[in-house]
Amino acid sequence: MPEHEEWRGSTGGSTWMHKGLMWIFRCIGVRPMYAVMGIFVAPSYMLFNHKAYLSIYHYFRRRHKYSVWKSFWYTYLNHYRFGQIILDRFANYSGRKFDFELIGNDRLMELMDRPEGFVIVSSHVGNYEIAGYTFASEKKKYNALVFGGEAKTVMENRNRLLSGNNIRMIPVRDDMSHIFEMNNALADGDIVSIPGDRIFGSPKYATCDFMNGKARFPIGPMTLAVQRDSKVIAIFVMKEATYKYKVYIRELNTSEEGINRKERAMRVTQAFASEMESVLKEYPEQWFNYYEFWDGAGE
Amino acid sequence: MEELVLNLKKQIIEALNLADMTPEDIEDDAPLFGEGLGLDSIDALELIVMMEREYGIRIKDPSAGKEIFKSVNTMAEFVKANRTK
Repeated sequence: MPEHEEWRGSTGGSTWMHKGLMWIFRCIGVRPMYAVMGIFVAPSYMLFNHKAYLSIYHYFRRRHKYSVWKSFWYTYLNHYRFGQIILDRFANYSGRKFDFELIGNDRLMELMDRPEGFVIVSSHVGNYEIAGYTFASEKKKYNALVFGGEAKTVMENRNRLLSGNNIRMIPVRDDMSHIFEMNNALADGDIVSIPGDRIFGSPKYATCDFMNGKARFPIGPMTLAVQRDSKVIAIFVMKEATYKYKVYIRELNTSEEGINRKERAMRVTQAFASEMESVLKEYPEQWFNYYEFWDGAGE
Repeated sequence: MEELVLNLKKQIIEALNLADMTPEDIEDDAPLFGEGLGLDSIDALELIVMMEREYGIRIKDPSAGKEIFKSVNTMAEFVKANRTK
């Protein structure tokens, strides 16, 4: 089985740990927790999760062409940053507020005003979860495709935070009912949000040029958009400071004439990979796919 | 019904770009997903859109999808009962 399918990326830790974290955030904020995480947790993950550590080290060495020591340092920074975004999520669950600077929001607002539905493609770069759900509006329901095996506390808190909003989670199911739900949502003029860098559900993929190599991206999100002639927006939520995120909102071109739908879906997938690459060049340490992402990288 | 089954097979081949297959290669009762034709969720999406375009059918109950797309015969029965064009 390819590692894409093995590594589901669900949030680690047990239910009581998650609840304890939220209690702490309500009392003391995120900074002391960042310090504890940076000194103890991030290094221990690097020491004991060797496969993940190596994949990130390879990412800096081979994709960013960093030196050995710089790659090692950035691997630590990457683990620290990942710890921060997980802590931020629970701080958000506990009621802490973060600032979001939106770049490219005008186009998103235009699409919100139209009757047609559209697709938002998320990724495991930055911290989409902390801001992604704020894109729901009174005008359109927001339907997020999620991995069905996410931790109970995370799902409970998502549901609590989102209750009353125009937001619905669609877990991937073996009976493929999620496909019907997403299709119906777009037909009803709503938003569908799908991760664009994780192959799950269908094993079909497009091999894209990405960060000086070839990597596999799921073809499903773009196939859905192309089949329904829907617009596609890529959103990257990048951590800038303790309580600040910058949100990059970029439209992908889906309207190429003279090529069949499969080819169009492939090209939109490549456009997504290229947008992700440009964001990663600015925020190299905010790459959170902890497996060998590139073809032949594990050899 | 036979004509509808044959049309569906042709449309499945076209929608899924199964260039090396003919309608005769698809058995009426063979499972479309998993074993049988071996289709997956992206193929299901192609079939959902094909049903909308060709027959004006929108499947509103997501949990019914698996039964409808069980085989060409089950698709044909559903189309016969629900088509609007």
